[in-house]
Amino acid sequence: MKKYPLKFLDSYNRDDQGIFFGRNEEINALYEMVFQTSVIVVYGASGTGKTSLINCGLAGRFQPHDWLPLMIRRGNNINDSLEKAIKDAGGNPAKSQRESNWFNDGEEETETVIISPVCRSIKAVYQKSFRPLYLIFDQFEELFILGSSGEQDIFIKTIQDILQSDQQVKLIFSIREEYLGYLFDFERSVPQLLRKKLRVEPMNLEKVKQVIIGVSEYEDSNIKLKAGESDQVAEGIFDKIKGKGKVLTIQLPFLQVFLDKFYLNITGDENRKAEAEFSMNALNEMEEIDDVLINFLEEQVKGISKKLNRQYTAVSTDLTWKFLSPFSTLEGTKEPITRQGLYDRLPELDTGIVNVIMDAFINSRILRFNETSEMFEIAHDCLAKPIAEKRSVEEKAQLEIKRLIKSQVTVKPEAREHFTEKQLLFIEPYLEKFKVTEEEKKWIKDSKDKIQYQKESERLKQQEELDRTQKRLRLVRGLLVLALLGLVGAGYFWLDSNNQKEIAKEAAKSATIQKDSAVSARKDADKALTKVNEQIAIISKKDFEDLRKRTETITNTGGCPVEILSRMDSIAAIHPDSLSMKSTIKSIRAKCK
Amino acid sequence: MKTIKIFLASSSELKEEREQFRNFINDENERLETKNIKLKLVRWENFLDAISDTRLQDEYNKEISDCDIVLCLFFTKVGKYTAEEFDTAYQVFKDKGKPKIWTYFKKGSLDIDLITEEINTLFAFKKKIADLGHFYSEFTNIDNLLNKYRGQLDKFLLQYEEDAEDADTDGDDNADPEQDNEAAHNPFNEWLTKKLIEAIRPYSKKANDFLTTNSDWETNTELIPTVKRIIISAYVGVLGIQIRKLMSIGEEEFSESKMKRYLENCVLTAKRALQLLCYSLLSKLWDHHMGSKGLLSETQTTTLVKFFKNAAEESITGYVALLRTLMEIFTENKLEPPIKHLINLQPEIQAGSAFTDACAKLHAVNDLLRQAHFTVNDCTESEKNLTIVLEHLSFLAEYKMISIKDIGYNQQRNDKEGMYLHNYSLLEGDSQFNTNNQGKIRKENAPVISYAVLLFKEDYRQNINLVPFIIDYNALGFNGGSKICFYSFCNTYDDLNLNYSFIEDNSRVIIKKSRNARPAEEQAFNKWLANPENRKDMNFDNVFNLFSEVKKTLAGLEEETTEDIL
Repeated sequence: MKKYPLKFLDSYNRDDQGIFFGRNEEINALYEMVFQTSVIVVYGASGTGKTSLINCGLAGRFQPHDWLPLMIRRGNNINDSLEKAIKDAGGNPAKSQRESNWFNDGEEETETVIISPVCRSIKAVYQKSFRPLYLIFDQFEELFILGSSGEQDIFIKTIQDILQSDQQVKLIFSIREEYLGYLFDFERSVPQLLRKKLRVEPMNLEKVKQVIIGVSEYEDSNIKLKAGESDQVAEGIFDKIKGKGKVLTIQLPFLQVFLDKFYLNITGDENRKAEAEFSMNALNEMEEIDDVLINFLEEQVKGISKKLNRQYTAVSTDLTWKFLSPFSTLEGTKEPITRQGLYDRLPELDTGIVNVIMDAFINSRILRFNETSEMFEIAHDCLAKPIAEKRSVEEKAQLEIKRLIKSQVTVKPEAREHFTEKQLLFIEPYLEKFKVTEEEKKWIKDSKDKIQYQKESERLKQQEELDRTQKRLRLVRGLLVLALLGLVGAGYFWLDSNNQKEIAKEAAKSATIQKDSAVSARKDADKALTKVNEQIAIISKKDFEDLRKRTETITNTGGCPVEILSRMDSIAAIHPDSLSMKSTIKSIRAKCK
Repeated sequence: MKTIKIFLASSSELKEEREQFRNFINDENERLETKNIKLKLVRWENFLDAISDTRLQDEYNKEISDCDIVLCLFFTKVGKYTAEEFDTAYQVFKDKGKPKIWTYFKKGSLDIDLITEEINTLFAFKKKIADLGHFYSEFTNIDNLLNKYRGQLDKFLLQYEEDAEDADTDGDDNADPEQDNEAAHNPFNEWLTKKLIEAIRPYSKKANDFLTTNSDWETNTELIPTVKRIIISAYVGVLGIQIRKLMSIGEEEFSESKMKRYLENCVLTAKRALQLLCYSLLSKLWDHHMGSKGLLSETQTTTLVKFFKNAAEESITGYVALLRTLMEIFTENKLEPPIKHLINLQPEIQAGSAFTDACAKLHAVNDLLRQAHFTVNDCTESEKNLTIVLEHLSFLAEYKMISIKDIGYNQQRNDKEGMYLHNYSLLEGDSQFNTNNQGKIRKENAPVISYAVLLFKEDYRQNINLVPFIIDYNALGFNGGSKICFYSFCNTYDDLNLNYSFIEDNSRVIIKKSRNARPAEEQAFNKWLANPENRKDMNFDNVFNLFSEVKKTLAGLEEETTEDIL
């Protein structure tokens, strides 16, 4: 029976060796590395086929008894996922004492090494099958995109333990090349991490030819190349995919999606059973496609929306894009999510509608359920970018806020930092638009309370300063009154009695001294008051400036910061720079309109 | 429209899962409509109560045997009827090869109040199906179940469609019931394990200590993997690696591929053992420069010439003959063999002995493999023959293999003496895992020969250097880890390249003479050495040159020879 030899967006696995082409050099290099080190990093751009290279190319080089791969995706937490993968493979650390005493992993040195529970589990898995164990950390960048620093620290420690205890295991990390820099801390703890690494290059014309010719020459393939046109068709396909750009390489998913489209264009057989002949004539009939993946995704979204709309009128193209949004991170990488997580991310959508759209995307193989992480995800990272690019400004802002909240709350409580006033101002307008956990709610409230408390303390401090100044003023005024009274008394006595002239003179002298002293005190008090006023003006100005900045965040997202403006009004009313401030306020109000 | 009947059996507590499964089947039917396939769900619970008292076993049998798939779901208990449905399905499967049975157990935290004594039915049932050799899966929630099942169903449908097409062209192609019976018991490695742990006892402290305290190990399934691992780690280097492969294949589910690989590896293990002995003797003989003294008989010389000129790898029997000749040379010339136990082995390598008989039988396995006609009995037979070979070579458990890489020297100001830093890899059954590209370092007071694979007993400075017959390709190429390769044959009538086998996968590794000539003048030579690529060429050329030398010394063969073997 003829078979369809393309995998579309799925990665290749061990069973697909017969249809996996164009990667012989990389497979050989990777295979050699396995015998040179215990840790290998496979890196490359998204869509270069790193996972397929390992699961199909490398796996195919081993006999079944020499290869026990455990694929590990981060899921919710990479440490839990690792533990689960080992446990599912039969790792049972609770071995009897009778057994465990009999094996020492050291060589001629018989020192007793205390091994961690994970290492004991690995040992148990090995003893169950006697197959070399390969821990393959696929899409390892997820640890850095989605994981907390605490999660990363625990993971690095676990890897150190595994390597130090000489377990029967090798480690392969598959990571997108733009995240290689994130391995810095990891490398510091595991120095051999990057010593053996393999870059998976995007496919150049030669490799694309190998794929296309390989696919057509595969014995059971239902795709054939027209005799004599092999090279021409392969080059034509390469040109169509790369478009007008001057790039020399293309990504594997683009090729897979294009070939699938090409096949359907020729046969029209959705079951992909009919035989197709790839020829130049057929290729020329293919319309020009600017971007194969975006085009593909848009077609699918449109098709699914149209189909579902017949039964569910609420379903529209926009809504379908909105449904896909949670499957992509802000950076445009794929984000696995549980069904409940999806409901929470789309609170405005009826769960029934969510289920229906989800099934439609699963049936069209764009979404799938990842058994390792027990989450749903898009079939390929390459689709995440177009999804991310479809988001509105509002949606992006929401995601930023979600990440901001999550980044704080996932940290251990003792190490958390409260949100700043500016952050809170940014967060608050969106809080009702997505679901916030109780812990997150509490942390936001704590942050608000803290800011309120800080403000109150500040106000009290200023009040105290003001009170102190007023008290000094009152004292000065009292002294002045006393001095005046002294003068009046002295004049009276001078007129009243010459005998007392001398006394009066003395009194006058004393009063003059008192007056001088009072005047001097008043000058001091005036200075102090001026200083306080200056300080108040500076503080008010700073407050005003802070408030102005906050308004930017709101006005930039289309809102109107009414409360803030009112507060700014009250500052401007009494401030020396009143005119300038009022002008600023006016311009902000103008933006609101 | 083809209809596939799915029988869904589950305990009553999984009502919601059943409902969701029904929805899933409806969705799948929509998808499969274009393929002209319809899934029909048969759910007994709809009328189970009504017929529970009066039903006939035949009624069940009929319904289940009509089904293509039986799906059993369990959580905290296994209902009486569900268990019976499974039994029926299993019996029908054994008789007719269908229906396909999938069993899923729900995992998850349990409300303590929900746990009743009925949970024991679950444990008993799990044990029962494990004893039957039936594999089951687990699921955490309905999504998990449906997605696991979706994958299985896709594979089933693909197979179903292929079978339907094949049936049109090839007729009935039922599985061989004899094979099924063969698969029922997994006898692999039982004999090998039992015999070898006893055989190595005098030579392995670990084996001896273990057996002293665990004489009942055969009855304790928990201890069997430990015994296997003691054997793997005890047998010297490459043999441990081969035994590890046999142990691993033995643990696999029954399949034709399993039998094939088991047979291949039995043959290969015996061959590697014989190669190791022959190469040790050849190395030692070379040390004695026997060939140049002309003390070899004509027959002995012919055997050595044949070995060195052979343009294809020797067979097991060829290596037995070579071993016999080499031992003769050592005995006749009163030379001490590199492994003293070989003296005791000498009578065992004569024609008609149990050892040579076992080797001949293992050699004959190649014919079975070529004809692709073998059974479990052939595997058992080969295992026994291999056991005989390895029992005779149990003294190898006293030996170790090591790959010496470079040797560093460190002596700094005011140090009375310097340190020789030996960079090495110990070669064991599990050794490929213990490799990191930094290697292991050992401080010594004297150097040893670098880039060498050594066989030794206690102290590796008292060793048998196996180069150029056994090499570490990675060490020679300045790479981490080890890639141990055994000499296989020489392209005597062609380019004289040397062919080696990489012990991990038996793949071919070719050593050819580079055209990178080292400069004669010292200063230019130093400059040449500064380039690591030149040093690599020097290392590989050295292997090539050493082989030419040993060939000339022991068999009197010059490189240019094109003389035919008689």
